[in-house]
Order: sequence, then C-alpha cells, then structure tokens
Amino acid sequence: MSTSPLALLELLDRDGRVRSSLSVARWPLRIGRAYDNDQVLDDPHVAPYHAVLDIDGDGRVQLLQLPALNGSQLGRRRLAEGERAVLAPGEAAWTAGLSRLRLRLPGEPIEPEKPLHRTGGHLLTVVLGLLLWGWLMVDRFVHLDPGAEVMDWLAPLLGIPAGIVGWCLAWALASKLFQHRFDFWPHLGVAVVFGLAIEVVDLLLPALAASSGWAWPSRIDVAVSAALALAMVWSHARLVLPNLRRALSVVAVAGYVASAGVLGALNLQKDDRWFSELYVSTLPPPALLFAKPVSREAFLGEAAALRARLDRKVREVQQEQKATADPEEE
Amino acid sequence: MPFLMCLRRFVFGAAMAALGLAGPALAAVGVPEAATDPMDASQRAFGRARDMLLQVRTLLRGQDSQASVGSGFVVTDEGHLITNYHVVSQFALRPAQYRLVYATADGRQGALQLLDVDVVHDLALLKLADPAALAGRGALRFRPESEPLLRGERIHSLGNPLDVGFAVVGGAYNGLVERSFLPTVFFGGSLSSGMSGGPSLDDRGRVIGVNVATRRDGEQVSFLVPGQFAEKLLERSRAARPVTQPLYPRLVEQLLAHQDALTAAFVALPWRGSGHPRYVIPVPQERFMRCWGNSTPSDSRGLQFERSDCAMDSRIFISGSLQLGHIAVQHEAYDGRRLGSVRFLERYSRSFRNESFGGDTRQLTSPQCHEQYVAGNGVPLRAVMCVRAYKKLAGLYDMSLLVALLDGTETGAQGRMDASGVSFENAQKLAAFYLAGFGVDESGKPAKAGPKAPPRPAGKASAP
Repeated sequence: MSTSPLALLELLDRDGRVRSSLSVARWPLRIGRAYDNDQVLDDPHVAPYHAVLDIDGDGRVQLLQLPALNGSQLGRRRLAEGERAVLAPGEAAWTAGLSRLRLRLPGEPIEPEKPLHRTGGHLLTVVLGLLLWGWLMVDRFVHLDPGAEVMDWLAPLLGIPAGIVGWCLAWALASKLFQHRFDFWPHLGVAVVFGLAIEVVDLLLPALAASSGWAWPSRIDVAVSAALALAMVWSHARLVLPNLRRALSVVAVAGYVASAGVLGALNLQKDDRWFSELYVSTLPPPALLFAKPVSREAFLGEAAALRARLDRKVREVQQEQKATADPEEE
Repeated sequence: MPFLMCLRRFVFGAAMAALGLAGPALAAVGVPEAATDPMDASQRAFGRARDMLLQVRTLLRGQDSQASVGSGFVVTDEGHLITNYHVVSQFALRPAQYRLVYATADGRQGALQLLDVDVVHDLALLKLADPAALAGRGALRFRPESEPLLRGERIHSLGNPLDVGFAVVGGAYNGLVERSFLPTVFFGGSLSSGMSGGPSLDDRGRVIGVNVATRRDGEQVSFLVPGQFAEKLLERSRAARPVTQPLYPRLVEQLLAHQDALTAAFVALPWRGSGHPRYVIPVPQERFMRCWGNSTPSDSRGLQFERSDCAMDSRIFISGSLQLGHIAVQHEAYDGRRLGSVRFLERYSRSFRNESFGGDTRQLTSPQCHEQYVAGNGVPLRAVMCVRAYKKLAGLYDMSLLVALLDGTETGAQGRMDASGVSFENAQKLAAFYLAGFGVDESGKPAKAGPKAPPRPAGKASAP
C-alpha cells in the first residue's frame, strides 16, 4: 500500500541539485557513514552515526546531533554533540561534514513552474543583434573617409559579429560550468540589449548637451555608459549564478559607487571639479542648435567667475607650501 | 585643431640658459680670421675688458657645487656688475638654497650680491660683496644711444663659454631682430652656453649689449639685450639693498607691466583677414608674431583644411621649467564637401575635442573653463575659455580661448588663442578682442585684408 511519505530527505550536490532522495516513511531516521543508517553518507568528514531526525511532542521535526568531530551546520548555527534544532518547513537545509542535506516537509510552498527559453525570444534577439551590427557599421562609415578600401570595411563587418558571439560564447561556457546549460541565447540577448543601450546613450547625451547648451548630459555620459557596461556584466553573471543574485547586485552597486566616488574625489582634488571632462566638445549643426547664443559681454562676464576659483586654489597651494616649506626658504 | 603640428616651428627660448655644463665639450675650432684688422680690434677689446670681465657662478649653499655658470661685467667703480637674469635665476627664486660668487680671468674669487633684476629683458644687477677686492680695475662704459651702430659693424662678445675659459667672439651687428616685441640685437656670431651675461663691445670697447641667447637650429644667429636696458637697470637700482628673499613679488610687478604693454600693443593692431571666401577669421598682424600656414593636399579624400599658426617667438625666462609672456593665435578652416554632413560634423567635433590645456603642475593650477554659445558677427560661435593661474607668480594667468563657427553642416572654422602670463583683466580683454574677430561675410566676396577693426572707444568719431 502506498501512503504519502512523511517527508523527503534530499542529498544535494555542489551545485545545489538533488543527487539522491529518500522518502521518509517513519521517524526517527538516522544519518551517518555506517552502512546500517537510514541515509548513508559517503563523506569522510561525517561520523559513522552522525545525527538523528525525530519528531517532538508538537509534531515538529528535530535534528539531534550525535557524537561527531565535525558536527552539523544549520544556517549560521553550529550543532555540537547532544544539541537539537527544529527543522522548519522551507528552511530545513543543513550540512553534515561536507554533505549538504535538505528535508522537504508537508505544507511547504512550492515554487511555480519556470518557463523554458522559447524560440520567439530568439527572433527578437536576432533582430536587435542585427540592429546593433548595423549601428556599428554606420558608425564605421562615419569614421571612414569616402572611397575607403574593402579591407577597411572587412574588419568591422566580420569583427563585430565575431566579437559579440565570442563574448556570449564565453558567458555560455560559464553557464555550462555552473548551470549545466549552454545558455547562449539568453547571454546574446543581454549583450545586444546593453550594447544598443550604450550606443544610444553615447549618441544622445552629447547630442543633447550640444543642442541645449547644458553641460551636464555630456559630463555624465561616461558615468552612464560605465553603469550600463557594469549592468551588462551583472546580467550575464546573474544568468550564470542565479542563486547569488542578491550578492551580485550588492557587489555591482557597491563597486560602482565606490569607484565613481574615488574617481570623482581624485578629480576634485587634482582639478577642482567632479568630472574629468573639461568642456563639451560635440558641435551641433545649426538646425539642431536650440540654445540661444549670449552676447560676448555676457560670456566674458560669466567667465570672470573663474578667477575666484583659481585664486582660491592658488591661496590653498601657497598655504600648503608655507606649511611644508623648509624653515630656511622664505 | 589637430591633425598636424606645424613642421618648421622653432622655439627661441632662453636657449643660452646658463647650463650646468654636463654636455659634451665642443671640439676645438679656433680658426683665426683672415683679415688682420678685426683681429686686432678683438684683441684690443678683450685686452681692455679683460679686467672687468667676470664669471658668475651660482653655487648650491650646502655643498658648494656649481648649479650654473655664466658671465658678467663690471660697470661701476663701486663694483656693480651686469649679467643675465637667467644666470642668477636660481638664486633669485631661492636665495636660501644658493649663493653667488665671481671668478676673474686671473683666478680671483669672491662673493656677489643680487641687487635687482629686469626679468623682462633678462638682466640682473649684482654687486661685489667686497668692492675693494677688485678696486682700481675700472669699469666698462655703455655706448650712448645717440651713436647708433650701423648694420655690418664689427662687435666683440666676451664671456666664458662652456666654462672652458674667458674668450672673445667676433661677429657683426645686424640690427634689431624683426618681428620681436622686445627690442633684441641680432648678433651675427656664435655664442655658447656660459657666455650669457657677458658684454658685447664695439671697437672702442664700449658696451652695446649683453649676450643672452643663440639659435641652435641656425649658424651664427645669436642675440643680445640692447645696452640701454642694462644702463636703465643700473640707474634705477644701483643703491638697492641686496636680495635675501625670493624675488617672486618683484617678478610679478615687472611681468604685469610687460603684459599690460603687450596686450595694449596687441589689441591696437586690427586683425588681418584670413582670405577665406565666407568666414571672417581673426589672424594677427605679423608685427611681433610669426605665422606659418599649411593645408591638406588637394588629392586628399577626407576633410580639407587650411591652417595658420601665429606665435611670438620669444618667451620670458623665469626658471629652467618656466617661460611665459607670449601670445599665439591659430585657426583651421574646414571644407567637408567631399565628406557630406554626417561625416563632416563628426570630424568637426573631433577636431574641437582634440585640444589640450595642460594639467596641474608645479607652476600652474589645472585649467578652469567657461563654455557657452556666443553670438558672433552673423554666426553663432561655440566658445570655451580656459584659464590657469600661476601658483608662485600670483596675479598672472594663462588663458586659452577655443572658438568654433557654427555656420554650416559641411564647412566651418575653428580658432584658438593662447596668452601666457597675463593678468585676468587682460586675459578678458584679449578674449573679447579675439571673439570680436569672428563672423561671416555675407557678400560672398573674399574678405579684404583687415576688415574687422578692433572695438574702438565709442564716441571718438563724433568728437568735433
């Protein structure tokens, strides 16, 4: 007669996948290296009789640690000999020696089914990929003088798709290593979406600066592009290591904030300004120039403000020199 | 304005800067002159001046090793002597670290005091710490201004070249250097390092100038500071107290006066036309600047451009790592009709980007810029004004102004003006003058030379 099992004890491999599972028909259940345990672990860091799973008076499952050198690790808690811990539904995973175990209990919520990557997504990826390729070819066209040799075109024509595919293959190999799936298409999707985004930002921000006369879109261009590049790598990494999603996000954001802060502070200290760009260099065609030109007098009047900043800097330097100069000098 | 740097540019610099003589010694080339008469004159000049000729050494105070050597000459019976500022610049800027001594041709030595400098003309007035040491030797006299030299007249330069020994070098007076803002004598003779600060004498042994520089890319092209400036320095400061503090405030005072004069002279000259059929681009008169031009070869498939590059040749020597006090103006006119608008605009922006203003150095702060669209004469301009301040010469600035004409999608022009070592007011004055020089000529005829007069004081024309 088959009745529904009391629980399911799973032994996990290093990737977190289930290597074997045992339907629990009765409590208690003993775990260890000896052949007569209910769950036998082939792990030299586990005692012959390592731990016992049993049910307490309230019907909860408890893990009891038997005498063992290495004990068990339950979340952050380390179980020593004779200690007990309640295994709650949804959190019942622990380590004995080097073996990772999980107990699935009745009433545990089950994650919904995840969709497969469908071919409809590939079509969009291909279209976006072609768009990126075309964009980069136009960019190449703009940079080449008329009448360029075929050789000048060959490199981008073949190099761009080869570069993108190579990049995605490398990430797909990483997915294969950690996820046992060769996720080429998802990685390609990430690469072309972010590649296009970076190109669009690099076109639009300087163009906005040129046509409006505001400096800030041009100043932040590099920072925005860098953020997009970092987001691209983060997206790739997330596909490779989905379990580390939160950690990856924290590392990415913290890394970005820290490096942006350090670079900005260095610029501020060295050049007295946050951004490394000295002036907006993109020049607009007359039709796209929406800013109203000011008079020469107004321009020079505003430029006079530079003097106070420069003089302040000179005073700072002179005070610094006075503080550090040899007593003989001056 | 990127693509090419002008090929034939040269730097005048204080090329003779009293160098530590680490370089290879010159091969002996003492070929006697054929004519006997000039030789006699040289001999006489040297014989008479020998006693008044000194070597001026700057020594590092602690270890007494030579930091630089030059020449000098006694001009009063109280022991005043004249040399170049650049011979004693290390002492002038850091008197606590250095000391000055002299050595005579007959091997006598003694301490020197610095009384004053004329940094603009590269002159220094010194005095023997103990005038009695060389008493009775006499002094060199200046040739009066009322007796101008004739071109081709024989002159004799004295000094101690390369620390080898006292020497006289014969050569010809060739008038004043052309297109130089500061009057400078063109001496057709060979000056070498170490002769800086020595006197150049006429046949009667009177001082007509002070050896100052030579051109290393030419032969026998050397320069003297006219004697009148040395004479003025002597008159002005013969009773001054010896310098014990760094001379920066004094230098600033003199440089401010110089840049005032230079700026006034510069803005008093109207721009001449660039010859462009449509654009009015300011190109300076070649009164005290030299312009070089070039253009892309006509078979070029890319962006066509013509450029001009005007600069003052001379700089004022402050220290081995700092020369300033000049103005430069350049422009490039672009024709992108072979490229089409999109490609042209990309190159036009790239060219505007490809400019450098220097960074934070020991001498100067990093640049601070102000940028804006400015209304030109009939055309919008993109203007970027970047200014750096001198850290030790407080009150002086380097100003650079970039200008791009935003006129079309296939043609354009960009210009750049640089002024180094100017006051902030003059930086603005020069910037205003330069900006006013840009425009378009709607008539379509080639712009005539000098169409854009500088802004004149209003109301002058209506005065009765």
